Amino acid sequence: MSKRVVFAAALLCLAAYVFIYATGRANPPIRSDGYSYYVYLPAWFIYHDPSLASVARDCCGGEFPAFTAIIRWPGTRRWVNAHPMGVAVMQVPFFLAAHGLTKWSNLSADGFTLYYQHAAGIAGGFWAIAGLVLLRRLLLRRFSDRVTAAALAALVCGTGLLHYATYDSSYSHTYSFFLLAALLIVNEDWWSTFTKATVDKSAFGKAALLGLVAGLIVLTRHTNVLLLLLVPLYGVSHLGGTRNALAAGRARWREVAITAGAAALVVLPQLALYYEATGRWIVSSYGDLTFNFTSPHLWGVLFSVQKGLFFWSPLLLAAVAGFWLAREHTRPFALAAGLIFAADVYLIASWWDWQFGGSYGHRGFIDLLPFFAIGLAGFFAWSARTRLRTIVVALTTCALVLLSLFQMLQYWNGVLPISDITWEQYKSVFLRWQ
Amino acid sequence: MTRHGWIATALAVVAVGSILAYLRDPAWLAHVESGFHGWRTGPDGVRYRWTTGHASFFVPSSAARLTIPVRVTFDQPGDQPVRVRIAVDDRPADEFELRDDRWTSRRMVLPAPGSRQRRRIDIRVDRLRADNRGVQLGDIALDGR
Repeated sequence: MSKRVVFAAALLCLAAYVFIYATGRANPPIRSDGYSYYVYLPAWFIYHDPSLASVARDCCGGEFPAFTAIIRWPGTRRWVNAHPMGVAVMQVPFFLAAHGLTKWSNLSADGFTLYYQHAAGIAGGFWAIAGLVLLRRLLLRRFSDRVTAAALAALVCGTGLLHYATYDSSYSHTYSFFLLAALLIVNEDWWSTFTKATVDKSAFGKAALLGLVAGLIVLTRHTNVLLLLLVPLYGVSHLGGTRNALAAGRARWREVAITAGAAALVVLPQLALYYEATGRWIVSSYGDLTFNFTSPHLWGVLFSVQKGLFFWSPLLLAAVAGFWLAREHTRPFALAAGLIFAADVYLIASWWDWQFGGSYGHRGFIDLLPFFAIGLAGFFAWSARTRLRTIVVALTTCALVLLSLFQMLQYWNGVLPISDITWEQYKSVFLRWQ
Repeated sequence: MTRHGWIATALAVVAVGSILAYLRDPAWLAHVESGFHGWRTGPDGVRYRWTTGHASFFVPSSAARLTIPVRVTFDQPGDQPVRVRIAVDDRPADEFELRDDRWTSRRMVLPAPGSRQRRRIDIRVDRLRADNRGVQLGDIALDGR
Protein backbone atom coordinates (compact mmCIF):
# COMPACT_ATOMS: atom_id res chain seq x y z
CA MET A 1 0.00 0.00 0.00
CA SER A 2 2.77 2.47 0.93
CA LYS A 3 4.51 1.72 -2.35
CA ARG A 4 1.36 2.77 -4.18
CA VAL A 5 1.23 5.98 -2.15
CA VAL A 6 4.76 6.88 -3.28
CA PHE A 7 3.83 6.09 -6.89
CA ALA A 8 0.66 8.17 -6.60
CA ALA A 9 2.68 11.02 -5.06
CA ALA A 10 5.01 10.95 -8.07
CA LEU A 11 2.05 11.11 -10.46
CA LEU A 12 0.46 13.89 -8.41
CA CYS A 13 3.69 15.91 -8.48
CA LEU A 14 3.98 15.48 -12.24
CA ALA A 15 0.34 16.43 -12.84
CA ALA A 16 0.60 19.47 -10.54
CA TYR A 17 3.84 20.56 -12.25
CA VAL A 18 2.27 20.35 -15.71
CA PHE A 19 -0.83 22.18 -14.45
CA ILE A 20 1.24 25.03 -12.93
CA TYR A 21 3.37 25.69 -16.01
CA ALA A 22 0.79 24.85 -18.69
CA THR A 23 -1.64 27.34 -17.18
CA GLY A 24 0.97 30.04 -16.56
CA ARG A 25 0.49 30.06 -12.80
CA ALA A 26 4.21 30.50 -12.22
CA ASN A 27 7.12 32.06 -14.08
CA PRO A 28 9.76 29.66 -15.44
CA PRO A 29 11.28 27.54 -12.63
CA ILE A 30 14.76 29.11 -12.51
CA ARG A 31 13.72 32.22 -10.60
CA SER A 32 14.37 33.96 -7.29
CA ASP A 33 16.49 31.72 -5.00
CA GLY A 34 16.23 28.98 -7.60
CA TYR A 35 18.41 31.09 -9.89
CA SER A 36 21.35 31.33 -7.52
CA TYR A 37 21.17 27.66 -6.52
CA TYR A 38 21.25 26.69 -10.21
CA VAL A 39 23.65 29.25 -11.70
CA TYR A 40 26.74 27.11 -10.96
CA LEU A 41 25.73 24.66 -13.70
CA PRO A 42 25.97 26.97 -16.73
CA ALA A 43 29.11 28.44 -15.15
CA TRP A 44 30.76 24.99 -14.96
CA PHE A 45 29.49 23.22 -18.05
CA ILE A 46 28.82 25.96 -20.61
CA TYR A 47 31.11 28.87 -19.78
CA HIS A 48 33.82 26.83 -18.00
CA ASP A 49 34.22 29.71 -15.57
CA PRO A 50 33.39 28.90 -11.92
CA SER A 51 33.83 32.56 -10.96
CA LEU A 52 30.34 33.24 -12.46
CA ALA A 53 31.72 36.28 -14.35
CA SER A 54 31.03 34.74 -17.78
CA VAL A 55 27.44 33.90 -16.86
CA ALA A 56 26.98 37.49 -15.66
CA ARG A 57 28.32 38.80 -18.98
CA ASP A 58 26.00 36.62 -21.04
CA CYS A 59 22.81 36.73 -19.02
CA CYS A 60 22.94 40.13 -17.46
CA GLY A 61 25.22 42.58 -19.22
CA GLY A 62 28.05 41.89 -16.77
CA GLU A 63 26.21 42.54 -13.49
CA PHE A 64 23.86 40.12 -11.75
CA PRO A 65 20.53 41.79 -10.87
CA ALA A 66 19.73 42.20 -7.16
CA PHE A 67 17.13 39.39 -7.10
CA THR A 68 19.85 36.81 -7.74
CA ALA A 69 21.49 37.38 -4.32
CA ILE A 70 24.87 37.13 -6.04
CA ILE A 71 27.03 39.99 -4.81
CA ARG A 72 30.40 41.47 -5.67
CA TRP A 73 32.69 40.86 -2.70
CA PRO A 74 34.05 44.15 -1.34
CA GLY A 75 37.78 44.33 -1.98
CA THR A 76 38.13 41.60 -4.60
CA ARG A 77 35.09 42.63 -6.73
CA ARG A 78 34.58 38.92 -7.51
CA TRP A 79 31.15 37.29 -7.43
CA VAL A 80 29.97 35.53 -4.26
CA ASN A 81 26.76 33.54 -4.45
CA ALA A 82 24.54 33.65 -1.35
CA HIS A 83 23.56 30.05 -2.02
CA PRO A 84 25.98 27.14 -2.03
CA MET A 85 26.47 24.58 -4.80
CA GLY A 86 24.78 21.46 -3.38
CA VAL A 87 21.52 21.87 -5.29
CA ALA A 88 23.46 22.36 -8.53
CA VAL A 89 25.48 19.20 -7.87
CA MET A 90 22.25 17.23 -7.46
CA GLN A 91 20.83 18.80 -10.64
CA VAL A 92 23.79 17.74 -12.81
CA PRO A 93 22.14 14.72 -14.55
CA PHE A 94 19.04 16.76 -15.34
CA PHE A 95 21.12 19.68 -16.59
CA LEU A 96 23.25 17.50 -18.87
CA ALA A 97 20.15 15.91 -20.40
CA ALA A 98 18.67 19.38 -20.95
CA HIS A 99 21.94 20.63 -22.46
CA GLY A 100 22.02 17.77 -24.97
CA LEU A 101 18.40 18.33 -25.90
CA THR A 102 18.95 22.08 -26.23
CA LYS A 103 21.84 21.59 -28.65
CA TRP A 104 19.84 19.03 -30.58
CA SER A 105 16.82 21.36 -30.91
CA ASN A 106 18.92 24.46 -31.75
CA LEU A 107 17.66 26.36 -28.72
CA SER A 108 20.06 28.87 -27.21
CA ALA A 109 22.53 26.86 -25.10
CA ASP A 110 22.97 29.58 -22.50
CA GLY A 111 21.72 27.57 -19.54
CA PHE A 112 18.39 29.36 -19.16
CA THR A 113 16.19 28.39 -22.12
CA LEU A 114 13.22 26.03 -22.13
CA TYR A 115 14.79 22.62 -21.42
CA TYR A 116 17.17 23.94 -18.76
CA GLN A 117 14.24 25.60 -16.99
CA HIS A 118 12.19 22.43 -16.78
CA ALA A 119 15.18 20.24 -16.02
CA ALA A 120 15.75 22.36 -12.91
CA GLY A 121 12.02 22.31 -12.11
CA ILE A 122 11.60 18.56 -12.50
CA ALA A 123 14.80 17.82 -10.55
CA GLY A 124 13.26 19.31 -7.39
CA GLY A 125 10.22 17.05 -7.72
CA PHE A 126 12.44 14.04 -8.41
CA TRP A 127 14.40 14.52 -5.18
CA ALA A 128 11.18 14.98 -3.22
CA ILE A 129 9.95 11.60 -4.47
CA ALA A 130 13.36 10.04 -3.85
CA GLY A 131 13.08 11.34 -0.27
CA LEU A 132 9.68 9.68 0.07
CA VAL A 133 11.14 6.37 -1.15
CA LEU A 134 13.79 6.51 1.58
CA LEU A 135 11.30 7.63 4.22
CA ARG A 136 9.08 4.69 3.33
CA ARG A 137 12.01 2.35 3.94
CA LEU A 138 12.74 3.99 7.28
CA LEU A 139 9.14 3.96 8.48
CA LEU A 140 8.57 0.34 7.47
CA ARG A 141 11.33 -0.63 9.92
CA ARG A 142 9.05 0.50 12.78
CA PHE A 143 5.47 0.82 11.54
CA SER A 144 2.95 -1.21 9.58
CA ASP A 145 2.51 -0.70 5.84
CA ARG A 146 -0.86 1.01 6.38
CA VAL A 147 0.51 3.44 8.96
CA THR A 148 3.49 4.19 6.68
CA ALA A 149 1.16 4.79 3.75
CA ALA A 150 -1.03 7.15 5.79
CA ALA A 151 1.97 9.10 7.10
CA LEU A 152 3.49 9.55 3.63
CA ALA A 153 0.17 10.57 2.06
CA ALA A 154 -0.49 13.07 4.86
CA LEU A 155 3.03 14.45 4.52
CA VAL A 156 2.67 15.06 0.78
CA CYS A 157 -0.83 16.55 0.83
CA GLY A 158 -1.10 18.03 4.32
CA THR A 159 2.11 20.10 4.37
CA GLY A 160 3.95 22.37 1.96
CA LEU A 161 5.93 19.46 0.47
CA LEU A 162 3.78 19.22 -2.68
CA HIS A 163 4.18 22.96 -3.27
CA TYR A 164 7.97 22.83 -2.97
CA ALA A 165 8.12 19.73 -5.19
CA THR A 166 6.24 21.53 -7.98
CA TYR A 167 5.60 25.29 -7.85
CA ASP A 168 8.85 26.30 -6.13
CA SER A 169 10.81 23.16 -6.97
CA SER A 170 14.02 24.94 -7.93
CA TYR A 171 14.56 26.01 -4.30
CA SER A 172 16.77 23.91 -2.04
CA HIS A 173 14.06 22.51 0.22
CA THR A 174 13.18 19.23 -1.46
CA TYR A 175 16.89 18.53 -1.88
CA SER A 176 17.39 18.99 1.86
CA PHE A 177 14.26 16.90 2.47
CA PHE A 178 15.82 14.04 0.50
CA LEU A 179 19.19 14.45 2.20
CA LEU A 180 17.70 14.35 5.71
CA ALA A 181 15.75 11.21 4.78
CA ALA A 182 19.01 9.75 3.48
CA LEU A 183 20.85 10.77 6.66
CA LEU A 184 18.20 9.07 8.81
CA ILE A 185 18.59 5.79 6.91
CA VAL A 186 22.35 5.82 6.44
CA ASN A 187 23.00 6.92 10.03
CA GLU A 188 20.79 4.16 11.42
CA ASP A 189 22.56 1.62 9.20
CA TRP A 190 25.93 2.87 10.38
CA TRP A 191 25.00 2.73 14.04
CA SER A 192 23.58 -0.74 13.56
CA THR A 193 27.11 -1.97 12.82
CA PHE A 194 28.08 -0.89 16.37
CA THR A 195 26.02 -3.60 17.95
CA LYS A 196 28.02 -6.32 16.26
CA ALA A 197 30.86 -7.84 18.22
CA THR A 198 33.30 -7.35 15.34
CA VAL A 199 33.45 -4.58 12.80
CA ASP A 200 32.84 -5.86 9.26
CA LYS A 201 34.19 -4.17 6.15
CA SER A 202 30.76 -2.80 5.26
CA ALA A 203 31.03 -0.48 8.28
CA PHE A 204 33.72 1.51 6.47
CA GLY A 205 31.57 1.80 3.35
CA LYS A 206 28.65 2.93 5.46
CA ALA A 207 30.88 5.46 7.21
CA ALA A 208 31.98 6.88 3.83
CA LEU A 209 28.35 7.05 2.65
CA LEU A 210 27.39 8.82 5.85
CA GLY A 211 30.16 11.35 5.21
CA LEU A 212 28.98 11.86 1.63
CA VAL A 213 25.40 12.57 2.77
CA ALA A 214 26.60 14.79 5.62
CA GLY A 215 28.80 16.77 3.22
CA LEU A 216 25.99 17.20 0.73
CA ILE A 217 23.68 18.45 3.49
CA VAL A 218 26.12 21.24 4.32
CA LEU A 219 26.82 21.87 0.64
CA THR A 220 23.10 22.31 -0.04
CA ARG A 221 22.28 24.66 2.82
CA HIS A 222 25.00 25.71 5.24
CA THR A 223 22.71 26.21 8.24
CA ASN A 224 21.57 22.60 7.87
CA VAL A 225 24.86 21.64 9.48
CA LEU A 226 22.53 21.43 12.49
CA LEU A 227 21.06 18.24 11.04
CA LEU A 228 24.36 16.50 11.63
CA LEU A 229 23.59 16.49 15.37
CA LEU A 230 21.53 13.44 14.43
CA VAL A 231 24.73 11.41 13.97
CA PRO A 232 25.96 11.49 17.60
CA LEU A 233 22.46 11.74 19.09
CA TYR A 234 20.90 8.75 17.33
CA GLY A 235 19.56 6.34 19.91
CA VAL A 236 20.25 8.74 22.78
CA SER A 237 17.05 9.13 24.78
CA HIS A 238 18.35 11.45 27.50
CA LEU A 239 21.16 13.99 27.67
CA GLY A 240 23.27 11.76 29.94
CA GLY A 241 23.33 9.20 27.14
CA THR A 242 25.53 11.42 25.00
CA ARG A 243 28.52 10.17 27.01
CA ASN A 244 27.90 6.64 25.75
CA ALA A 245 27.64 7.96 22.20
CA LEU A 246 30.95 9.79 22.54
CA ALA A 247 32.60 6.70 23.99
CA ALA A 248 31.28 4.64 21.09
CA GLY A 249 32.65 7.22 18.66
CA ARG A 250 36.07 7.10 20.34
CA ALA A 251 36.11 3.32 20.19
CA ARG A 252 35.60 3.39 16.41
CA TRP A 253 37.60 6.44 15.55
CA ARG A 254 38.69 5.06 12.18
CA GLU A 255 35.13 5.05 10.89
CA VAL A 256 34.50 8.47 12.37
CA ALA A 257 37.62 9.72 10.57
CA ILE A 258 36.37 8.22 7.29
CA THR A 259 33.00 9.94 7.75
CA ALA A 260 34.62 13.27 8.57
CA GLY A 261 37.09 12.94 5.68
CA ALA A 262 34.36 12.13 3.15
CA ALA A 263 32.23 15.05 4.37
CA ALA A 264 35.22 17.40 4.18
CA LEU A 265 36.00 16.29 0.62
CA VAL A 266 32.44 17.04 -0.46
CA VAL A 267 32.45 20.50 1.13
CA LEU A 268 35.98 21.42 -0.03
CA PRO A 269 35.04 22.73 -3.53
CA GLN A 270 32.64 25.23 -1.96
CA LEU A 271 35.32 26.45 0.47
CA ALA A 272 37.80 26.73 -2.41
CA LEU A 273 35.28 28.83 -4.33
CA TYR A 274 34.84 31.14 -1.36
CA TYR A 275 38.62 31.40 -0.98
CA GLU A 276 39.08 32.20 -4.68
CA ALA A 277 36.44 34.94 -4.53
CA THR A 278 37.17 36.50 -1.14
CA GLY A 279 40.55 35.32 0.12
CA ARG A 280 38.77 33.56 3.01
CA TRP A 281 37.77 29.94 3.39
CA ILE A 282 34.58 30.67 5.33
CA VAL A 283 32.43 33.69 4.55
CA SER A 284 28.96 35.02 5.26
CA SER A 285 27.74 34.73 1.69
CA TYR A 286 24.66 36.86 2.37
CA GLY A 287 26.81 39.97 2.81
CA ASP A 288 25.12 42.46 5.14
CA LEU A 289 21.97 40.35 5.61
CA THR A 290 22.28 38.57 8.93
CA PHE A 291 20.71 37.11 12.10
CA ASN A 292 19.25 39.01 15.02
CA PHE A 293 19.67 36.49 17.82
CA THR A 294 18.42 38.81 20.54
CA SER A 295 14.86 39.16 19.24
CA PRO A 296 13.81 35.97 17.45
CA HIS A 297 10.27 35.80 15.98
CA LEU A 298 9.48 32.49 17.67
CA TRP A 299 5.71 32.95 17.66
CA GLY A 300 5.88 34.18 14.08
CA VAL A 301 7.64 31.13 12.66
CA LEU A 302 5.59 28.63 14.65
CA PHE A 303 2.03 29.92 14.92
CA SER A 304 1.49 33.26 13.15
CA VAL A 305 -0.87 33.75 10.25
CA GLN A 306 2.03 35.18 8.22
CA LYS A 307 4.13 32.04 7.98
CA GLY A 308 3.56 29.98 11.15
CA LEU A 309 4.58 26.37 10.59
CA PHE A 310 1.67 24.94 12.58
CA PHE A 311 -0.81 27.53 11.29
CA TRP A 312 -0.25 26.53 7.65
CA SER A 313 0.42 22.83 8.34
CA PRO A 314 -1.62 22.05 11.49
CA LEU A 315 -1.23 18.34 10.80
CA LEU A 316 2.34 18.66 12.02
CA LEU A 317 1.05 19.20 15.58
CA ALA A 318 -0.07 15.58 15.42
CA ALA A 319 3.48 14.66 14.42
CA VAL A 320 4.85 16.39 17.53
CA ALA A 321 2.33 14.49 19.69
CA GLY A 322 3.20 11.27 17.85
CA PHE A 323 6.80 11.39 19.06
CA TRP A 324 5.50 11.08 22.64
CA LEU A 325 2.47 8.86 22.07
CA ALA A 326 4.45 6.22 20.16
CA ARG A 327 7.73 6.69 21.99
CA GLU A 328 8.51 2.98 21.85
CA HIS A 329 8.93 3.46 18.07
CA THR A 330 10.28 7.00 17.90
CA ARG A 331 12.75 6.90 20.82
CA PRO A 332 15.99 6.59 18.76
CA PHE A 333 15.21 9.86 16.97
CA ALA A 334 13.26 11.82 19.58
CA LEU A 335 16.04 13.70 21.35
CA ALA A 336 17.93 14.51 18.13
CA ALA A 337 14.74 15.62 16.35
CA GLY A 338 13.68 17.77 19.31
CA LEU A 339 17.05 19.50 19.69
CA ILE A 340 17.51 20.05 15.96
CA PHE A 341 13.97 21.39 15.61
CA ALA A 342 14.44 23.77 18.57
CA ALA A 343 17.76 25.02 17.21
CA ASP A 344 16.33 25.44 13.72
CA VAL A 345 13.30 27.34 15.01
CA TYR A 346 15.62 29.72 16.86
CA LEU A 347 17.86 30.14 13.82
CA ILE A 348 15.02 30.74 11.38
CA ALA A 349 13.22 33.06 13.80
CA SER A 350 16.41 35.11 14.17
CA TRP A 351 16.98 35.62 10.42
CA TRP A 352 16.37 39.23 9.36
CA ASP A 353 13.59 38.03 7.02
CA TRP A 354 12.07 35.37 9.28
CA GLN A 355 9.24 34.79 6.75
CA PHE A 356 11.84 33.75 4.11
CA GLY A 357 10.31 36.07 1.50
CA GLY A 358 7.40 35.09 -0.73
CA SER A 359 6.49 31.49 -0.03
CA TYR A 360 3.65 29.10 0.78
CA GLY A 361 3.71 28.29 4.50
CA HIS A 362 7.14 28.43 6.13
CA ARG A 363 9.53 26.94 3.61
CA GLY A 364 12.40 26.81 6.10
CA PHE A 365 10.85 23.76 7.77
CA ILE A 366 10.33 21.67 4.61
CA ASP A 367 13.89 20.42 5.18
CA LEU A 368 12.82 18.88 8.53
CA LEU A 369 9.73 17.04 7.23
CA PRO A 370 11.42 13.61 7.46
CA PHE A 371 11.47 14.06 11.25
CA PHE A 372 7.80 15.01 11.18
CA ALA A 373 7.06 11.91 9.07
CA ILE A 374 8.32 9.74 11.93
CA GLY A 375 6.11 11.63 14.39
CA LEU A 376 3.11 11.41 12.06
CA ALA A 377 3.56 7.67 11.66
CA GLY A 378 3.80 7.42 15.45
CA PHE A 379 0.58 9.36 15.84
CA PHE A 380 -1.24 7.20 13.28
CA ALA A 381 0.09 4.03 14.94
CA TRP A 382 -1.22 5.29 18.29
CA SER A 383 -4.58 6.23 16.79
CA ALA A 384 -4.93 2.78 15.21
CA ARG A 385 -5.09 1.15 18.65
CA THR A 386 -8.84 1.78 19.04
CA ARG A 387 -11.60 2.01 16.46
CA LEU A 388 -12.96 5.32 17.75
CA ARG A 389 -9.54 7.00 17.63
CA THR A 390 -8.99 5.69 14.13
CA ILE A 391 -12.23 7.21 12.88
CA VAL A 392 -11.71 10.57 14.62
CA VAL A 393 -8.09 10.88 13.49
CA ALA A 394 -8.90 9.79 9.93
CA LEU A 395 -11.68 12.35 9.60
CA THR A 396 -9.61 15.16 11.15
CA THR A 397 -6.61 14.30 8.96
CA CYS A 398 -8.75 14.30 5.81
CA ALA A 399 -10.20 17.70 6.73
CA LEU A 400 -6.73 19.19 7.39
CA VAL A 401 -5.34 17.70 4.18
CA LEU A 402 -8.20 19.19 2.17
CA LEU A 403 -7.69 22.57 3.84
CA SER A 404 -3.96 22.44 3.10
CA LEU A 405 -4.51 21.49 -0.56
CA PHE A 406 -7.15 24.18 -0.97
CA GLN A 407 -4.90 26.86 0.52
CA MET A 408 -2.07 25.77 -1.72
CA LEU A 409 -4.32 26.18 -4.75
CA GLN A 410 -5.32 29.60 -3.41
CA TYR A 411 -1.63 30.51 -3.31
CA TRP A 412 -1.13 29.28 -6.87
CA ASN A 413 -4.14 31.31 -8.01
CA GLY A 414 -2.79 34.46 -6.38
CA VAL A 415 -5.66 34.59 -3.86
CA LEU A 416 -3.28 34.36 -0.90
CA PRO A 417 -0.57 37.04 -0.64
CA ILE A 418 2.95 35.63 -0.96
CA SER A 419 4.04 37.15 2.39
CA ASP A 420 2.98 39.44 5.23
CA ILE A 421 -0.62 38.18 5.19
CA THR A 422 -2.74 39.58 8.03
CA TRP A 423 -5.47 37.80 9.99
CA GLU A 424 -8.06 40.10 8.36
CA GLN A 425 -6.78 39.19 4.89
CA TYR A 426 -6.77 35.50 5.76
CA LYS A 427 -10.36 35.61 7.01
CA SER A 428 -11.53 37.55 3.97
CA VAL A 429 -10.25 34.91 1.51
CA PHE A 430 -10.83 31.81 3.67
CA LEU A 431 -12.17 29.00 1.42
CA ARG A 432 -12.57 31.40 -1.51
CA TRP A 433 -11.28 30.75 -5.01
CA GLN A 434 -11.11 34.40 -6.06
CA MET B 1 19.31 -11.04 -22.18
CA THR B 2 15.92 -12.71 -22.55
CA ARG B 3 13.69 -12.32 -25.61
CA HIS B 4 11.42 -10.00 -23.67
CA GLY B 5 14.43 -7.95 -22.62
CA TRP B 6 15.53 -7.52 -26.25
CA ILE B 7 12.04 -6.49 -27.30
CA ALA B 8 11.77 -3.98 -24.44
CA THR B 9 15.19 -2.53 -25.31
CA ALA B 10 14.30 -2.26 -28.99
CA LEU B 11 11.02 -0.53 -28.16
CA ALA B 12 12.81 1.89 -25.85
CA VAL B 13 15.39 2.71 -28.56
CA VAL B 14 12.62 3.30 -31.11
CA ALA B 15 10.67 5.48 -28.65
CA VAL B 16 13.70 7.60 -27.72
CA GLY B 17 14.71 7.86 -31.38
CA SER B 18 11.22 8.99 -32.41
CA ILE B 19 11.09 11.59 -29.62
CA LEU B 20 14.51 12.94 -30.58
CA ALA B 21 13.55 13.08 -34.28
CA TYR B 22 10.43 15.04 -33.37
CA LEU B 23 12.30 17.41 -31.03
CA ARG B 24 14.96 18.31 -33.60
CA ASP B 25 12.76 20.86 -35.36
CA PRO B 26 9.22 20.92 -33.92
CA ALA B 27 6.69 23.48 -35.19
CA TRP B 28 6.08 24.91 -31.70
CA LEU B 29 9.67 26.13 -31.61
CA ALA B 30 8.42 29.18 -33.54
CA HIS B 31 6.79 30.36 -30.30
CA VAL B 32 9.70 29.60 -27.98
CA GLU B 33 11.63 32.63 -26.81
CA SER B 34 13.58 33.67 -23.75
CA GLY B 35 14.98 36.79 -22.15
CA PHE B 36 12.05 39.15 -22.77
CA HIS B 37 9.87 41.27 -20.50
CA GLY B 38 6.20 41.79 -21.44
CA TRP B 39 4.92 43.83 -24.40
CA ARG B 40 4.29 47.56 -23.80
CA THR B 41 3.38 50.57 -25.91
CA GLY B 42 5.48 53.73 -25.68
CA PRO B 43 4.24 57.36 -25.72
CA ASP B 44 5.08 57.42 -29.47
CA GLY B 45 2.64 54.55 -30.03
CA VAL B 46 5.40 52.05 -30.83
CA ARG B 47 4.88 48.58 -29.45
CA TYR B 48 8.02 47.14 -27.84
CA ARG B 49 9.36 44.89 -25.15
CA TRP B 50 12.52 45.02 -23.10
CA THR B 51 15.10 42.28 -23.44
CA THR B 52 17.17 41.11 -20.51
CA GLY B 53 20.93 40.72 -20.99
CA HIS B 54 20.40 37.92 -23.51
CA ALA B 55 17.22 37.34 -25.50
CA SER B 56 16.55 34.72 -28.13
CA PHE B 57 13.72 33.88 -30.50
CA PHE B 58 13.10 31.97 -33.71
CA VAL B 59 12.20 33.12 -37.23
CA PRO B 60 11.18 30.99 -40.24
CA SER B 61 14.20 29.90 -42.25
CA SER B 62 12.31 30.85 -45.41
CA ALA B 63 12.93 34.53 -44.55
CA ALA B 64 15.75 36.21 -46.52
CA ARG B 65 15.98 39.48 -44.60
CA LEU B 66 15.25 40.54 -41.07
CA THR B 67 14.60 44.04 -39.70
CA ILE B 68 14.85 44.60 -35.96
CA PRO B 69 13.77 47.97 -34.48
CA VAL B 70 15.87 48.60 -31.40
CA ARG B 71 16.22 51.41 -28.87
CA VAL B 72 17.50 52.09 -25.38
CA THR B 73 16.61 54.76 -22.82
CA PHE B 74 18.88 57.13 -20.93
CA ASP B 75 16.75 57.84 -17.85
CA GLN B 76 19.50 58.04 -15.24
CA PRO B 77 22.39 60.53 -15.28
CA GLY B 78 25.01 57.77 -15.36
CA ASP B 79 23.44 55.71 -18.15
CA GLN B 80 26.10 54.63 -20.66
CA PRO B 81 25.67 53.71 -24.35
CA VAL B 82 24.78 50.06 -24.87
CA ARG B 83 26.60 47.72 -27.25
CA VAL B 84 24.33 45.19 -28.92
CA ARG B 85 25.40 41.94 -30.60
CA ILE B 86 23.06 39.92 -32.81
CA ALA B 87 23.76 36.33 -33.85
CA VAL B 88 21.93 34.00 -36.22
CA ASP B 89 22.22 30.33 -35.21
CA ASP B 90 25.26 31.28 -33.08
CA ARG B 91 27.02 33.04 -36.00
CA PRO B 92 27.71 36.78 -35.43
CA ALA B 93 25.41 38.83 -37.72
CA ASP B 94 25.55 42.41 -36.45
CA GLU B 95 27.14 44.52 -33.74
CA PHE B 96 26.43 48.17 -32.96
CA GLU B 97 26.21 50.72 -30.17
CA LEU B 98 23.12 52.68 -29.11
CA ARG B 99 24.29 56.16 -28.11
CA ASP B 100 20.91 57.96 -27.93
CA ASP B 101 17.29 57.07 -27.28
CA ARG B 102 16.09 57.11 -30.93
CA TRP B 103 14.70 53.97 -32.58
CA THR B 104 17.22 52.29 -34.90
CA SER B 105 16.22 49.71 -37.51
CA ARG B 106 18.87 47.04 -38.03
CA ARG B 107 18.50 45.14 -41.30
CA MET B 108 20.36 41.96 -41.92
CA VAL B 109 20.49 39.41 -44.70
CA LEU B 110 19.93 35.90 -43.43
CA PRO B 111 22.14 33.12 -44.76
CA ALA B 112 20.67 30.39 -46.97
CA PRO B 113 18.35 28.06 -45.05
CA GLY B 114 19.82 24.87 -43.68
CA SER B 115 17.99 21.68 -42.81
CA ARG B 116 15.80 23.26 -40.14
CA GLN B 117 12.48 25.08 -40.55
CA ARG B 118 13.46 27.81 -38.11
CA ARG B 119 16.60 29.73 -37.23
CA ARG B 120 17.50 31.22 -33.94
CA ILE B 121 18.25 34.89 -33.38
CA ASP B 122 20.20 35.84 -30.23
CA ILE B 123 20.49 39.43 -28.97
CA ARG B 124 23.05 40.24 -26.30
CA VAL B 125 23.83 43.56 -24.63
CA ASP B 126 26.93 44.60 -22.73
CA ARG B 127 25.12 46.40 -19.89
CA LEU B 128 21.69 46.53 -18.29
CA ARG B 129 19.40 49.31 -17.18
CA ALA B 130 17.67 48.96 -13.79
CA ASP B 131 15.25 46.05 -13.27
CA ASN B 132 17.15 43.67 -15.53
CA ARG B 133 16.34 45.61 -18.74
CA GLY B 134 18.63 45.42 -21.79
CA VAL B 135 17.24 47.13 -24.91
CA GLN B 136 13.76 47.76 -26.28
CA LEU B 137 12.83 45.63 -29.28
CA GLY B 138 9.93 46.58 -31.59
CA ASP B 139 8.02 44.25 -33.92
CA ILE B 140 10.40 42.22 -36.08
CA ALA B 141 9.84 42.45 -39.87
CA LEU B 142 10.71 39.56 -42.20
CA ASP B 143 11.10 39.50 -46.00
CA GLY B 144 10.74 36.23 -47.88
CA ARG B 145 13.24 34.73 -50.25
